[in-house]
Amino acid sequence: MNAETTWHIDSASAQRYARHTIDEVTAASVEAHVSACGSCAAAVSAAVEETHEGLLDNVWAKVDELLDAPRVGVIERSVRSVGCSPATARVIAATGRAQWSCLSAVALSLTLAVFASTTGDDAAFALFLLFAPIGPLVATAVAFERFGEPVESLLRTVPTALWTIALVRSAAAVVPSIVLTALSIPILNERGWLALAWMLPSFALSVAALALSNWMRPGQSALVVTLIWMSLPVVARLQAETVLDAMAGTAQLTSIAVVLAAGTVFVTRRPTFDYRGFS
Amino acid sequence: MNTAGSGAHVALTQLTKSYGRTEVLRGLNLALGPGVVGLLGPNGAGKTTLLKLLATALAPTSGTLEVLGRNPADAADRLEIRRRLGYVPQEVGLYENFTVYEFVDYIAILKEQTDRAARRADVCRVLAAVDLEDVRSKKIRKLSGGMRRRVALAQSLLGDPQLLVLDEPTVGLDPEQRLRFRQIVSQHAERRCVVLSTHMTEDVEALCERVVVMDHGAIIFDGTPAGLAALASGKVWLAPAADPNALMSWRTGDGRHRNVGDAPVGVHLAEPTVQDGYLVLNGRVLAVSSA
Repeated sequence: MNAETTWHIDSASAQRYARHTIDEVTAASVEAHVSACGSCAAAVSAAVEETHEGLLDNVWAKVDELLDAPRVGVIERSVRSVGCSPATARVIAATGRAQWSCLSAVALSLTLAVFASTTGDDAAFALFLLFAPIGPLVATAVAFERFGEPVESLLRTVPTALWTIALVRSAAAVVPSIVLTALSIPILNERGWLALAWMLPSFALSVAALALSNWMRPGQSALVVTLIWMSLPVVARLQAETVLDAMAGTAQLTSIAVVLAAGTVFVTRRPTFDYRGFS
Repeated sequence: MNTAGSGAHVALTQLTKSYGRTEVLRGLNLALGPGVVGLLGPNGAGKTTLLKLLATALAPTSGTLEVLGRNPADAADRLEIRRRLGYVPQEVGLYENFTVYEFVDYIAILKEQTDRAARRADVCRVLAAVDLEDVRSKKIRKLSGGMRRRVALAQSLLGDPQLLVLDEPTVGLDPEQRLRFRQIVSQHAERRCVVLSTHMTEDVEALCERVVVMDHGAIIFDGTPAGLAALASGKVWLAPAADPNALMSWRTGDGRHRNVGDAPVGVHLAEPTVQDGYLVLNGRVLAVSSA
Protein backbone atom coordinates (compact mmCIF):
# COMPACT_ATOMS: atom_id res chain seq x y z
CA MET A 1 0.00 0.00 0.00
CA ASN A 2 1.20 3.52 -0.62
CA ALA A 3 0.18 7.05 0.27
CA GLU A 4 -2.27 7.20 -2.60
CA THR A 5 -4.31 4.19 -1.47
CA THR A 6 -8.00 4.85 -0.80
CA TRP A 7 -7.97 2.63 2.32
CA HIS A 8 -6.88 4.18 5.59
CA ILE A 9 -6.86 3.02 9.15
CA ASP A 10 -9.88 4.32 11.03
CA SER A 11 -9.52 5.47 14.63
CA ALA A 12 -11.34 2.43 16.04
CA SER A 13 -8.86 0.08 14.34
CA ALA A 14 -5.94 2.22 15.53
CA GLN A 15 -7.27 2.00 19.11
CA ARG A 16 -7.74 -1.78 18.85
CA TYR A 17 -4.23 -2.15 17.44
CA ALA A 18 -2.79 -0.08 20.29
CA ARG A 19 -4.64 -2.19 22.87
CA HIS A 20 -3.69 -5.51 21.20
CA THR A 21 -7.34 -6.40 20.75
CA ILE A 22 -7.17 -6.65 16.98
CA ASP A 23 -6.92 -9.97 15.08
CA GLU A 24 -3.55 -11.00 13.64
CA VAL A 25 -4.48 -10.55 9.97
CA THR A 26 -5.78 -6.98 10.46
CA ALA A 27 -2.76 -6.20 12.64
CA ALA A 28 -0.47 -7.28 9.80
CA SER A 29 -2.43 -5.06 7.39
CA VAL A 30 -2.10 -2.11 9.76
CA GLU A 31 1.64 -2.64 10.07
CA ALA A 32 2.05 -2.91 6.32
CA HIS A 33 -0.07 0.20 5.75
CA VAL A 34 1.69 2.46 8.25
CA SER A 35 5.04 1.75 6.64
CA ALA A 36 3.77 3.59 3.55
CA CYS A 37 1.20 6.05 4.92
CA GLY A 38 2.50 8.89 7.04
CA SER A 39 -0.88 10.12 8.34
CA CYS A 40 -1.97 6.62 9.45
CA ALA A 41 1.45 6.02 11.02
CA ALA A 42 0.97 9.21 13.05
CA ALA A 43 -2.59 8.20 14.04
CA VAL A 44 -1.54 4.70 15.14
CA SER A 45 1.49 6.08 16.96
CA ALA A 46 -0.71 8.55 18.82
CA ALA A 47 -3.16 5.80 19.73
CA VAL A 48 -0.33 3.61 21.07
CA GLU A 49 1.07 6.50 23.10
CA GLU A 50 -2.33 7.44 24.49
CA THR A 51 -3.10 3.85 25.45
CA HIS A 52 0.18 3.47 27.27
CA GLU A 53 -0.35 6.74 29.09
CA GLY A 54 -3.85 5.62 30.00
CA LEU A 55 -2.53 2.32 31.31
CA LEU A 56 0.10 4.11 33.35
CA ASP A 57 -2.48 6.54 34.70
CA ASN A 58 -4.68 3.62 35.71
CA VAL A 59 -1.78 1.93 37.47
CA TRP A 60 -0.95 5.13 39.36
CA ALA A 61 -4.62 5.66 40.24
CA LYS A 62 -4.75 2.13 41.68
CA VAL A 63 -1.52 2.73 43.63
CA ASP A 64 -2.93 6.01 44.98
CA GLU A 65 -6.15 4.30 45.97
CA LEU A 66 -4.26 1.59 47.82
CA LEU A 67 -2.10 4.15 49.62
CA ASP A 68 -5.10 6.30 50.57
CA ALA A 69 -7.31 3.41 51.62
CA PRO A 70 -8.21 3.82 55.30
CA ARG A 71 -6.33 1.41 57.54
CA VAL A 72 -8.58 -1.23 58.99
CA GLY A 73 -7.75 -2.01 62.61
CA VAL A 74 -8.50 -5.11 64.67
CA ILE A 75 -11.85 -3.87 65.95
CA GLU A 76 -13.01 -2.73 62.53
CA ARG A 77 -11.96 -6.06 60.98
CA SER A 78 -13.80 -7.97 63.71
CA VAL A 79 -16.95 -5.92 63.20
CA ARG A 80 -16.81 -6.52 59.45
CA SER A 81 -16.22 -10.24 59.98
CA VAL A 82 -19.55 -10.59 61.79
CA GLY A 83 -21.37 -9.19 58.78
CA CYS A 84 -21.53 -5.44 59.43
CA SER A 85 -21.07 -3.13 56.47
CA PRO A 86 -17.72 -1.32 56.10
CA ALA A 87 -19.54 1.97 56.78
CA THR A 88 -21.00 0.69 60.08
CA ALA A 89 -17.61 -0.74 61.04
CA ARG A 90 -16.05 2.67 60.43
CA VAL A 91 -18.63 4.38 62.64
CA ILE A 92 -17.88 1.95 65.46
CA ALA A 93 -14.12 2.15 65.16
CA ALA A 94 -13.84 5.85 64.29
CA THR A 95 -12.59 7.12 67.62
CA GLY A 96 -9.74 5.73 69.63
CA ARG A 97 -11.84 6.36 72.72
CA ALA A 98 -14.69 4.31 71.36
CA GLN A 99 -12.33 1.46 70.55
CA TRP A 100 -10.73 1.57 73.97
CA SER A 101 -14.06 1.86 75.76
CA CYS A 102 -15.26 -1.20 73.91
CA LEU A 103 -12.11 -3.15 74.76
CA SER A 104 -12.26 -1.94 78.38
CA ALA A 105 -15.80 -3.25 78.71
CA VAL A 106 -14.71 -6.66 77.47
CA ALA A 107 -11.62 -6.68 79.70
CA LEU A 108 -13.66 -5.67 82.75
CA SER A 109 -16.22 -8.37 82.14
CA LEU A 110 -13.56 -11.02 81.74
CA THR A 111 -11.58 -9.89 84.79
CA LEU A 112 -14.69 -9.97 86.93
CA ALA A 113 -15.66 -13.36 85.56
CA VAL A 114 -12.25 -14.80 86.36
CA PHE A 115 -12.26 -13.16 89.79
CA ALA A 116 -15.66 -14.65 90.55
CA SER A 117 -14.57 -18.07 89.35
CA THR A 118 -11.59 -18.21 91.69
CA THR A 119 -13.68 -17.81 94.79
CA GLY A 120 -16.56 -19.81 96.09
CA ASP A 121 -17.54 -16.87 98.25
CA ASP A 122 -21.16 -15.65 97.81
CA ALA A 123 -20.16 -12.05 98.57
CA ALA A 124 -17.51 -12.03 95.83
CA PHE A 125 -19.96 -13.49 93.38
CA ALA A 126 -22.62 -10.95 94.34
CA LEU A 127 -20.07 -8.18 93.73
CA PHE A 128 -19.36 -9.64 90.32
CA LEU A 129 -23.04 -9.59 89.43
CA LEU A 130 -23.39 -6.00 90.64
CA PHE A 131 -20.34 -4.59 88.91
CA ALA A 132 -20.35 -6.54 85.65
CA PRO A 133 -23.31 -4.67 84.09
CA ILE A 134 -21.57 -1.32 84.56
CA GLY A 135 -18.73 -2.05 82.10
CA PRO A 136 -20.77 -1.87 78.90
CA LEU A 137 -22.68 1.10 80.30
CA VAL A 138 -19.49 3.09 80.92
CA ALA A 139 -18.18 2.04 77.50
CA THR A 140 -21.30 3.41 75.84
CA ALA A 141 -21.05 6.71 77.70
CA VAL A 142 -17.32 7.17 77.02
CA ALA A 143 -17.87 6.65 73.31
CA PHE A 144 -20.14 9.68 73.27
CA GLU A 145 -18.66 12.13 75.70
CA ARG A 146 -17.12 15.26 74.23
CA PHE A 147 -13.57 13.97 74.79
CA GLY A 148 -14.54 10.68 73.14
CA GLU A 149 -16.31 12.14 70.13
CA PRO A 150 -14.43 15.19 68.87
CA VAL A 151 -16.66 15.65 65.84
CA GLU A 152 -19.94 15.65 67.73
CA SER A 153 -20.85 19.09 66.35
CA LEU A 154 -20.51 17.68 62.83
CA LEU A 155 -22.38 14.48 63.64
CA ARG A 156 -25.43 16.58 64.46
CA THR A 157 -25.59 17.89 60.90
CA VAL A 158 -24.89 14.83 58.71
CA PRO A 159 -27.63 12.71 57.11
CA THR A 160 -26.61 9.64 59.11
CA ALA A 161 -28.71 10.19 62.20
CA LEU A 162 -27.06 10.69 65.59
CA TRP A 163 -29.64 8.24 66.89
CA THR A 164 -28.35 5.53 64.55
CA ILE A 165 -24.74 6.27 65.48
CA ALA A 166 -25.66 6.10 69.19
CA LEU A 167 -27.39 2.78 68.68
CA VAL A 168 -24.57 1.27 66.62
CA ARG A 169 -21.86 2.32 69.07
CA SER A 170 -23.89 1.18 72.09
CA ALA A 171 -24.39 -2.21 70.50
CA ALA A 172 -20.67 -2.34 69.76
CA ALA A 173 -19.92 -1.75 73.43
CA VAL A 174 -22.51 -4.14 74.85
CA VAL A 175 -22.42 -7.11 72.47
CA PRO A 176 -18.71 -8.12 72.73
CA SER A 177 -18.74 -8.12 76.52
CA ILE A 178 -21.91 -10.19 76.59
CA VAL A 179 -20.52 -12.70 74.10
CA LEU A 180 -17.20 -13.05 75.88
CA THR A 181 -18.81 -13.41 79.26
CA ALA A 182 -21.09 -16.08 77.88
CA LEU A 183 -18.00 -17.89 76.61
CA SER A 184 -16.44 -17.65 80.08
CA ILE A 185 -19.31 -19.50 81.74
CA PRO A 186 -17.55 -22.90 81.64
CA ILE A 187 -14.79 -21.58 83.94
CA LEU A 188 -17.27 -20.28 86.51
CA ASN A 189 -17.47 -23.54 88.49
CA GLU A 190 -20.93 -24.65 89.50
CA ARG A 191 -22.39 -21.14 89.21
CA GLY A 192 -22.04 -21.06 85.45
CA TRP A 193 -25.69 -20.36 84.66
CA LEU A 194 -25.81 -17.51 87.21
CA ALA A 195 -23.06 -15.69 85.29
CA LEU A 196 -25.72 -14.96 82.69
CA ALA A 197 -27.81 -13.16 85.29
CA TRP A 198 -26.02 -9.82 84.86
CA MET A 199 -26.53 -9.64 81.11
CA LEU A 200 -30.15 -8.59 81.05
CA PRO A 201 -29.64 -5.93 83.77
CA SER A 202 -26.61 -4.70 81.82
CA PHE A 203 -28.66 -4.36 78.67
CA ALA A 204 -31.42 -2.63 80.63
CA LEU A 205 -28.96 -0.14 82.16
CA SER A 206 -27.50 0.72 78.75
CA VAL A 207 -30.95 1.24 77.22
CA ALA A 208 -31.99 3.34 80.23
CA ALA A 209 -28.87 5.50 79.84
CA LEU A 210 -29.58 5.97 76.13
CA ALA A 211 -33.16 6.99 76.90
CA LEU A 212 -31.98 9.43 79.57
CA SER A 213 -29.52 11.00 77.13
CA ASN A 214 -32.53 12.77 75.64
CA TRP A 215 -32.31 15.08 78.64
CA MET A 216 -28.67 14.98 79.73
CA ARG A 217 -25.16 14.26 78.46
CA PRO A 218 -24.31 10.56 77.99
CA GLY A 219 -21.75 10.68 80.80
CA GLN A 220 -24.31 12.16 83.17
CA SER A 221 -27.00 9.67 82.21
CA ALA A 222 -24.57 6.75 82.69
CA LEU A 223 -23.63 8.12 86.10
CA VAL A 224 -27.27 8.50 87.15
CA VAL A 225 -28.12 4.97 86.03
CA THR A 226 -25.02 3.54 87.75
CA LEU A 227 -25.84 5.29 91.02
CA ILE A 228 -29.40 4.00 90.94
CA TRP A 229 -28.22 0.48 90.17
CA MET A 230 -25.55 0.44 92.89
CA SER A 231 -27.85 1.93 95.48
CA LEU A 232 -30.56 -0.70 95.02
CA PRO A 233 -28.94 -3.42 97.23
CA VAL A 234 -28.07 -0.76 99.81
CA VAL A 235 -31.59 0.66 99.91
CA ALA A 236 -33.12 -2.81 99.99
CA ARG A 237 -30.53 -3.87 102.60
CA LEU A 238 -29.76 -6.99 100.69
CA GLN A 239 -27.16 -9.53 101.90
CA ALA A 240 -24.90 -11.40 99.49
CA GLU A 241 -27.21 -14.39 99.42
CA THR A 242 -30.30 -12.31 98.77
CA VAL A 243 -28.46 -10.39 96.03
CA LEU A 244 -27.92 -13.70 94.27
CA ASP A 245 -31.59 -14.58 94.68
CA ALA A 246 -32.68 -11.15 93.49
CA MET A 247 -30.42 -11.33 90.45
CA ALA A 248 -31.89 -14.69 89.54
CA GLY A 249 -35.48 -13.48 89.80
CA THR A 250 -36.64 -9.94 90.51
CA ALA A 251 -33.76 -8.24 88.67
CA GLN A 252 -34.51 -10.18 85.49
CA LEU A 253 -38.19 -9.24 85.45
CA THR A 254 -37.43 -5.63 86.35
CA SER A 255 -34.81 -5.51 83.60
CA ILE A 256 -37.31 -6.66 81.01
CA ALA A 257 -39.68 -3.91 82.13
CA VAL A 258 -36.89 -1.31 82.01
CA VAL A 259 -35.78 -2.45 78.55
CA LEU A 260 -39.35 -2.14 77.27
CA ALA A 261 -40.00 1.24 78.89
CA ALA A 262 -36.63 2.85 78.15
CA GLY A 263 -36.54 1.30 74.68
CA THR A 264 -39.94 2.81 73.94
CA VAL A 265 -38.75 6.22 75.12
CA PHE A 266 -35.57 5.96 73.02
CA VAL A 267 -37.45 4.90 69.89
CA THR A 268 -40.38 7.30 70.20
CA ARG A 269 -38.13 10.26 70.96
CA ARG A 270 -35.92 9.55 67.98
CA PRO A 271 -36.97 12.65 65.99
CA THR A 272 -36.28 14.89 68.99
CA PHE A 273 -33.00 13.13 69.71
CA ASP A 274 -31.85 13.57 66.12
CA TYR A 275 -32.63 17.26 66.13
CA ARG A 276 -31.56 18.26 69.59
CA GLY A 277 -28.97 15.55 70.15
CA PHE A 278 -27.55 15.19 73.61
CA SER A 279 -28.70 17.99 75.83
CA MET B 1 -42.88 17.50 53.52
CA ASN B 2 -41.64 20.43 51.49
CA THR B 3 -42.76 23.69 52.96
CA ALA B 4 -41.28 25.54 49.99
CA GLY B 5 -42.60 28.86 51.17
CA SER B 6 -40.34 31.78 50.42
CA GLY B 7 -38.15 30.29 47.69
CA ALA B 8 -35.12 31.62 49.57
CA HIS B 9 -32.30 29.31 50.64
CA VAL B 10 -32.87 30.35 54.23
CA ALA B 11 -35.87 32.11 55.75
CA LEU B 12 -36.35 33.03 59.40
CA THR B 13 -39.46 34.58 60.85
CA GLN B 14 -39.59 35.85 64.43
CA LEU B 15 -36.98 33.25 65.32
CA THR B 16 -35.87 32.97 68.93
CA LYS B 17 -33.50 30.66 70.75
CA SER B 18 -33.09 30.45 74.50
CA TYR B 19 -30.79 28.43 76.71
CA GLY B 20 -32.72 28.12 79.93
CA ARG B 21 -33.76 31.66 80.80
CA THR B 22 -31.15 33.29 78.60
CA GLU B 23 -32.52 34.45 75.28
CA VAL B 24 -29.67 34.19 72.78
CA LEU B 25 -31.59 35.06 69.60
CA ARG B 26 -34.43 37.58 69.72
CA GLY B 27 -37.10 37.53 67.04
CA LEU B 28 -34.88 37.33 63.97
CA ASN B 29 -36.35 37.93 60.51
CA LEU B 30 -34.11 37.14 57.58
CA ALA B 31 -34.30 35.72 54.05
CA LEU B 32 -31.13 34.64 52.25
CA GLY B 33 -30.74 33.66 48.60
CA PRO B 34 -27.74 32.58 46.53
CA GLY B 35 -24.42 34.31 47.15
CA VAL B 36 -22.11 34.91 50.09
CA VAL B 37 -23.56 36.43 53.24
CA GLY B 38 -21.23 37.58 56.00
CA LEU B 39 -22.25 37.59 59.64
CA LEU B 40 -20.46 40.14 61.77
CA GLY B 41 -20.81 40.88 65.44
CA PRO B 42 -18.99 40.87 68.75
CA ASN B 43 -18.48 37.70 70.77
CA GLY B 44 -21.77 36.61 72.31
CA ALA B 45 -23.86 38.33 69.64
CA GLY B 46 -25.54 35.05 68.70
CA LYS B 47 -23.74 34.35 65.41
CA THR B 48 -22.70 30.80 66.27
CA THR B 49 -26.14 29.93 67.61
CA LEU B 50 -27.74 31.25 64.42
CA LEU B 51 -25.37 29.20 62.28
CA LYS B 52 -26.10 26.07 64.35
CA LEU B 53 -29.80 26.61 63.71
CA LEU B 54 -29.17 26.91 59.96
CA ALA B 55 -27.05 23.75 60.08
CA THR B 56 -29.89 21.88 61.87
CA ALA B 57 -27.61 21.23 64.84
CA LEU B 58 -30.04 23.10 67.10
CA ALA B 59 -33.79 23.58 67.17
CA PRO B 60 -35.23 27.09 67.62
CA THR B 61 -37.26 27.89 70.71
CA SER B 62 -39.95 29.73 68.75
CA GLY B 63 -40.62 31.27 65.35
CA THR B 64 -40.29 29.62 61.97
CA LEU B 65 -37.17 28.43 60.23
CA GLU B 66 -37.04 27.30 56.63
CA VAL B 67 -33.82 25.93 55.15
CA LEU B 68 -33.61 25.12 51.43
CA GLY B 69 -37.40 25.38 51.28
CA ARG B 70 -37.88 22.79 54.02
CA ASN B 71 -38.77 22.70 57.66
CA PRO B 72 -35.95 21.26 59.82
CA ALA B 73 -38.42 20.29 62.55
CA ASP B 74 -39.83 17.66 60.20
CA ALA B 75 -37.65 14.50 60.20
CA ALA B 76 -37.92 13.84 56.44
CA ASP B 77 -37.29 17.48 55.59
CA ARG B 78 -34.34 17.59 57.97
CA LEU B 79 -32.76 14.60 56.25
CA GLU B 80 -33.11 16.32 52.88
CA ILE B 81 -31.59 19.52 54.26
CA ARG B 82 -28.65 17.62 55.71
CA ARG B 83 -28.04 15.93 52.37
CA ARG B 84 -27.60 19.37 50.80
CA LEU B 85 -25.69 21.03 53.59
CA GLY B 86 -22.02 21.68 54.32
CA TYR B 87 -21.01 22.89 57.77
CA VAL B 88 -17.79 24.02 59.42
CA PRO B 89 -18.31 24.47 63.17
CA GLN B 90 -16.44 27.14 65.09
CA GLU B 91 -14.39 24.60 67.00
CA VAL B 92 -14.07 21.65 64.73
CA GLY B 93 -12.73 18.55 66.41
CA LEU B 94 -10.87 16.10 64.24
CA TYR B 95 -9.80 12.51 64.83
CA GLU B 96 -6.12 12.96 65.60
CA ASN B 97 -5.15 9.41 64.64
CA PHE B 98 -6.77 9.61 61.21
CA THR B 99 -4.98 10.74 58.09
CA VAL B 100 -6.45 13.69 56.21
CA TYR B 101 -7.87 11.33 53.60
CA GLU B 102 -9.33 8.97 56.21
CA PHE B 103 -11.10 11.78 58.02
CA VAL B 104 -12.70 13.28 54.94
CA ASP B 105 -13.60 9.78 53.74
CA TYR B 106 -15.25 9.07 57.10
CA ILE B 107 -17.39 12.19 56.90
CA ALA B 108 -18.29 11.21 53.34
CA ILE B 109 -19.55 7.87 54.71
CA LEU B 110 -21.69 9.74 57.23
CA LYS B 111 -22.98 11.84 54.34
CA GLU B 112 -24.35 8.65 52.81
CA GLN B 113 -21.74 8.32 50.09
CA THR B 114 -21.75 4.54 50.00
CA ASP B 115 -20.38 3.97 46.50
CA ARG B 116 -16.63 3.56 47.02
CA ALA B 117 -15.46 4.87 43.64
CA ALA B 118 -17.78 7.89 43.70
CA ARG B 119 -16.79 8.63 47.30
CA ARG B 120 -13.12 8.46 46.46
CA ALA B 121 -13.61 10.84 43.52
CA ASP B 122 -15.46 13.33 45.74
CA VAL B 123 -12.89 13.12 48.55
CA CYS B 124 -10.06 13.72 46.05
CA ARG B 125 -12.01 16.63 44.56
CA VAL B 126 -12.49 18.45 47.85
CA LEU B 127 -8.91 17.81 48.97
CA ALA B 128 -7.71 19.31 45.69
CA ALA B 129 -10.05 22.27 46.16
CA VAL B 130 -8.46 23.18 49.49
CA ASP B 131 -4.96 22.32 48.29
CA LEU B 132 -4.43 19.42 50.67
CA GLU B 133 -3.67 16.72 48.13
CA ASP B 134 -0.01 16.58 49.07
CA VAL B 135 -0.69 15.95 52.75
CA ARG B 136 -3.62 13.58 52.39
CA SER B 137 -1.60 10.70 53.90
CA LYS B 138 -0.44 12.81 56.84
CA LYS B 139 -1.89 12.20 60.29
CA ILE B 140 -4.15 15.00 61.47
CA ARG B 141 -2.22 15.39 64.73
CA LYS B 142 0.79 16.50 62.65
CA LEU B 143 -1.07 19.29 60.83
CA SER B 144 -0.74 23.01 61.49
CA GLY B 145 -3.77 25.02 62.63
CA GLY B 146 -4.30 26.40 59.12
CA MET B 147 -4.22 22.95 57.58
CA ARG B 148 -6.74 21.67 60.13
CA ARG B 149 -9.11 24.48 59.16
CA ARG B 150 -8.69 23.44 55.55
CA VAL B 151 -9.53 19.83 56.42
CA ALA B 152 -12.69 21.15 58.07
CA LEU B 153 -13.48 23.18 54.97
CA ALA B 154 -12.81 20.19 52.71
CA GLN B 155 -15.35 18.00 54.48
CA SER B 156 -17.95 20.75 54.21
CA LEU B 157 -17.61 20.77 50.41
CA LEU B 158 -18.40 17.06 50.09
CA GLY B 159 -21.40 16.41 47.86
CA ASP B 160 -21.34 19.95 46.45
CA PRO B 161 -23.82 21.34 49.02
CA GLN B 162 -26.47 23.93 48.18
CA LEU B 163 -26.03 25.62 51.53
CA LEU B 164 -22.62 26.13 53.10
CA VAL B 165 -22.54 27.28 56.72
CA LEU B 166 -19.10 28.36 57.88
CA ASP B 167 -18.37 29.50 61.42
CA GLU B 168 -15.20 31.60 61.48
CA PRO B 169 -13.58 29.62 58.68
CA THR B 170 -10.58 31.90 58.18
CA VAL B 171 -9.22 31.77 61.71
CA GLY B 172 -5.66 30.47 61.60
CA LEU B 173 -5.25 30.81 57.84
CA ASP B 174 -2.23 32.67 56.49
CA PRO B 175 -2.80 35.44 53.89
CA GLU B 176 -2.25 33.11 50.94
CA GLN B 177 -4.63 30.52 52.36
CA ARG B 178 -7.22 33.23 52.97
CA LEU B 179 -7.04 34.27 49.33
CA ARG B 180 -7.41 30.64 48.34
CA PHE B 181 -10.39 30.35 50.70
CA ARG B 182 -12.04 33.37 49.09
CA GLN B 183 -11.57 31.80 45.68
CA ILE B 184 -13.14 28.49 46.78
CA VAL B 185 -16.10 30.16 48.46
CA SER B 186 -16.79 32.60 45.64
CA GLN B 187 -16.70 29.76 43.09
CA HIS B 188 -19.02 27.69 45.23
CA ALA B 189 -21.47 30.53 45.78
CA GLU B 190 -22.28 31.15 42.16
CA ARG B 191 -25.60 29.33 42.38
CA ARG B 192 -25.60 28.38 46.03
CA CYS B 193 -25.85 30.07 49.39
CA VAL B 194 -22.85 30.52 51.66
CA VAL B 195 -23.31 31.96 55.14
CA LEU B 196 -20.14 32.69 57.04
CA SER B 197 -19.44 34.34 60.35
CA THR B 198 -16.20 36.16 60.81
CA HIS B 199 -14.42 38.79 62.82
CA MET B 200 -12.42 39.80 59.77
CA THR B 201 -14.08 42.72 58.05
CA GLU B 202 -11.60 42.40 55.15
CA ASP B 203 -13.16 39.01 54.33
CA VAL B 204 -16.61 40.57 54.28
CA GLU B 205 -15.41 43.41 52.07
CA ALA B 206 -13.67 41.07 49.64
CA LEU B 207 -16.16 38.22 49.51
CA CYS B 208 -19.68 39.03 50.60
CA GLU B 209 -22.52 40.49 48.60
CA ARG B 210 -24.48 40.98 51.76
CA VAL B 211 -23.57 41.56 55.37
CA VAL B 212 -25.67 41.02 58.48
CA VAL B 213 -24.46 42.53 61.74
CA MET B 214 -25.72 41.06 65.00
CA ASP B 215 -25.54 42.27 68.55
CA HIS B 216 -27.14 40.86 71.70
CA GLY B 217 -29.12 38.31 69.69
CA ALA B 218 -30.67 40.83 67.31
CA ILE B 219 -29.92 41.95 63.74
CA ILE B 220 -28.76 45.55 63.82
CA PHE B 221 -27.74 45.87 60.17
CA ASP B 222 -28.67 44.00 57.00
CA GLY B 223 -27.34 45.31 53.70
CA THR B 224 -24.36 45.44 51.39
CA PRO B 225 -20.76 45.88 52.56
CA ALA B 226 -20.79 49.24 50.79
CA GLY B 227 -23.91 50.15 52.77
CA LEU B 228 -22.18 49.23 56.02
CA ALA B 229 -19.11 51.24 55.06
CA ALA B 230 -21.37 54.19 54.17
CA LEU B 231 -22.52 54.38 57.80
CA ALA B 232 -19.08 55.85 58.49
CA SER B 233 -19.25 58.34 55.67
CA GLY B 234 -17.98 61.68 56.94
CA LYS B 235 -16.91 60.06 60.20
CA VAL B 236 -13.39 58.93 59.31
CA TRP B 237 -10.48 61.30 59.19
CA LEU B 238 -6.72 61.20 59.15
CA ALA B 239 -4.77 63.39 61.53
CA PRO B 240 -1.22 63.67 62.84
CA ALA B 241 -2.44 62.65 66.29
CA ALA B 242 -5.16 60.55 67.88
CA ASP B 243 -8.32 62.55 68.54
CA PRO B 244 -9.46 62.09 72.15
CA ASN B 245 -13.10 62.56 71.10
CA ALA B 246 -12.97 59.83 68.45
CA LEU B 247 -14.83 56.59 68.94
CA MET B 248 -11.61 54.85 68.09
CA SER B 249 -8.28 55.83 66.59
CA TRP B 250 -5.11 54.04 65.60
CA ARG B 251 -1.77 54.82 64.05
CA THR B 252 -1.51 53.78 60.42
CA GLY B 253 1.54 52.68 58.44
CA ASP B 254 2.27 56.21 57.16
CA GLY B 255 2.48 57.60 60.69
CA ARG B 256 -0.88 59.38 60.65
CA HIS B 257 -3.78 58.49 62.90
CA ARG B 258 -7.04 57.17 61.53
CA ASN B 259 -9.89 58.47 63.67
CA VAL B 260 -13.45 57.17 63.57
CA GLY B 261 -16.28 59.12 65.18
CA ASP B 262 -17.92 62.51 64.84
CA ALA B 263 -15.39 64.40 62.75
CA PRO B 264 -14.43 67.92 63.77
CA VAL B 265 -14.84 70.67 61.17
CA GLY B 266 -12.00 71.15 58.69
CA VAL B 267 -10.33 67.76 59.06
CA HIS B 268 -9.10 65.64 56.14
CA LEU B 269 -11.88 63.06 55.66
CA ALA B 270 -10.96 59.59 54.49
CA GLU B 271 -12.84 56.98 52.48
CA PRO B 272 -14.65 54.72 54.98
CA THR B 273 -14.22 50.93 54.99
CA VAL B 274 -16.48 48.14 56.21
CA GLN B 275 -14.46 48.09 59.41
CA ASP B 276 -15.15 51.82 59.95
CA GLY B 277 -18.86 51.28 59.32
CA TYR B 278 -18.87 48.38 61.76
CA LEU B 279 -17.14 50.53 64.40
CA VAL B 280 -19.64 53.35 63.93
CA LEU B 281 -22.55 50.90 64.11
CA ASN B 282 -21.21 49.32 67.28
CA GLY B 283 -20.52 52.75 68.72
CA ARG B 284 -24.18 53.63 68.20
CA VAL B 285 -25.28 50.39 69.79
CA LEU B 286 -23.00 50.99 72.74
CA ALA B 287 -24.34 54.52 73.08
CA VAL B 288 -27.93 53.29 72.99
CA SER B 289 -27.18 50.50 75.47
CA SER B 290 -25.55 52.81 77.97
CA ALA B 291 -28.18 55.56 77.62
